[in-house]
Amino acid sequence: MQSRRLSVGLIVAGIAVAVGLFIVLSDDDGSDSGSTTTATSTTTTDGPPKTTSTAPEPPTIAFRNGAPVGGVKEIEVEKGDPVRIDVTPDVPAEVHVHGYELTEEVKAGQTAKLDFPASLEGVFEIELHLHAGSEEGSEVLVAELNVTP
Amino acid sequence: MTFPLLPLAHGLLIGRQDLPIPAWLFAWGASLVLIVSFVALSVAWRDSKLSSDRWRPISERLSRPVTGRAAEILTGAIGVFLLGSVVYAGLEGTDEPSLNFAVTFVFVTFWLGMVVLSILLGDVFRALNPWRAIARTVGGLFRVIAGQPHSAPLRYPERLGRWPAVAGIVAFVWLELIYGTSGYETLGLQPSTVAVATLAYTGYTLLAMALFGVETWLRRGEAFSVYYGMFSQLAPLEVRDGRLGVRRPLAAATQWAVVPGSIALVVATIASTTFDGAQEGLWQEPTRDLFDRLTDLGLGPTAALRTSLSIFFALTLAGVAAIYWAGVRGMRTVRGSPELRSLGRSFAHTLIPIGVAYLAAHYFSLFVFAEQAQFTYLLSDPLGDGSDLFGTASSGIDYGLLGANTIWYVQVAALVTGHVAGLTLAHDRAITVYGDPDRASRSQRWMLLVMVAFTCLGLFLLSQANA
Repeated sequence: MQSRRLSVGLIVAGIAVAVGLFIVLSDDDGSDSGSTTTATSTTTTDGPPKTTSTAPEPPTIAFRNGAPVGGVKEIEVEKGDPVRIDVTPDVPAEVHVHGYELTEEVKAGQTAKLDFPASLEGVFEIELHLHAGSEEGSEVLVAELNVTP
Repeated sequence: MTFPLLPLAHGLLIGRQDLPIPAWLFAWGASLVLIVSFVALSVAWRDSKLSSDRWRPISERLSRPVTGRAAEILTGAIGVFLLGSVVYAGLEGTDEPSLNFAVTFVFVTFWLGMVVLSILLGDVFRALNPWRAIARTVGGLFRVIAGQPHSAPLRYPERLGRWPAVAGIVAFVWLELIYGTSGYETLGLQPSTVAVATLAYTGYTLLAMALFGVETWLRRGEAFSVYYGMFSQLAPLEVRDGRLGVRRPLAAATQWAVVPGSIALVVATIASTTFDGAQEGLWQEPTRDLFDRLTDLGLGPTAALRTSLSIFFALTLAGVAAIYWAGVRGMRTVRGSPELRSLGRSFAHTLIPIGVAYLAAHYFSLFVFAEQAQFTYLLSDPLGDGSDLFGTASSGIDYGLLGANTIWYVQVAALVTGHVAGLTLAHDRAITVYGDPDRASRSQRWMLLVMVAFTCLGLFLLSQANA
């Protein structure tokens, strides 16, 4: 009976510690932003909400030989923020944002100006469906859109 | 040479992946695991509670519709129809993997969905197994024509145990996660490849069944029967001698691992998910380095990518096995331990819940999202040719269904639950192996380390994924 009381005590103590940890740890949310490119500035924690007029120039993704210059871009935003990216392929293509199911046709050398609110959480691929060139018909990963809560 | 933009397995089908679990949740999850573990050490029950599964039949009226002849024919026919659908869609449908019924059905609905059904309802795959249905039909015809039942010409070498099934599972995972990555773009596994592989596996299975006997091959060699059969050990339902009955959850697993190859199967299960998770984070840099080395040696990009991924898959398998065997070796130091091999086999079943937890943590969101596709456009337009059989072709996936927080909590909860179930099985087994509760407890410090290692590795992989 002694050991039973001890184990019940331990379980209760364990639950108490777990709940305490949960509350303490979940408080400092969002302290782990990486060194990734941000589509819009999301660094402020308590500043007033931004208006589009003060938003910086959106990142531009250029292409050479049907591949993104500088590799796949990481774009990090919080849910509800606007996402703005300019994609300039060097072949005719369709820009496709997975999950959001946005598509935009662009001619070679022209710029697709993506501008939409980040309404879904998760990591979404932004792809280019090539309409010409040696890789015609294939899909190239352009960027990864990380939308955190 | 530029490194191919690694097509991520999760991204293959729907182009969406999970966010890494945040640092605070990682810390909280890991702390919770340690707390749970210390509590587990203190609640030492003294008699084995799981050695008997206490199976008892349910009433004949409820059992009959499930186990009767009509049900068997119906479920077998469904299985054969789905097998045929995969092959037909794979060969005749669109080349676009995400729009072809075959790919999502095989790798999500079947591969993940059958695990869920097996855990909840028991060995349902036995009823749905298309190869069993075909073999039994052919066997029945043979009996009618030849006037005598077909007897297997070869005796199955029992020392092989479940090893042929392990080979089948590893090959399946290799096809899914490694062969499917083919070059610069996120091509994914071609539907036609899925169809050809399905046909090849069908031929191989029917041949093996003819050689060794249908039931023998289902128990030992047919990869999916053995794999889902492993998970069904946890279920509260089982058909025994043609009668449906209820039993204690988890308890049947205690009898499962006596056959050779069982440790390898559960290790392969954990390692496959680990590899898939590590591909998205932990293994990305090392794979890239190896890929560069291989292309410098003159290998083409596709061959170099497959080779480097295969090497890391092999390393993952070895690593998971090493964690388990290190724990078993530690346990061996306790006085009165049986010899190493038999001790290893005694505790293999305790890793089944860990395997389930890994699957749940890594594939929960993929399953929820991809099944929406399965039951909307992939159902109405299985070939991706614009047809609309059931009027759902224009519906799609609602990505707003699961928020990041929901997914994170499910992931952590799955790992912690698997950890507790694993510890429960291990402690119970230690009592039957060591007899003496003191020595049982001492041996369990080692299994506790194994479980903590796996659970924290699982959390770590989630915190690194797509980071």
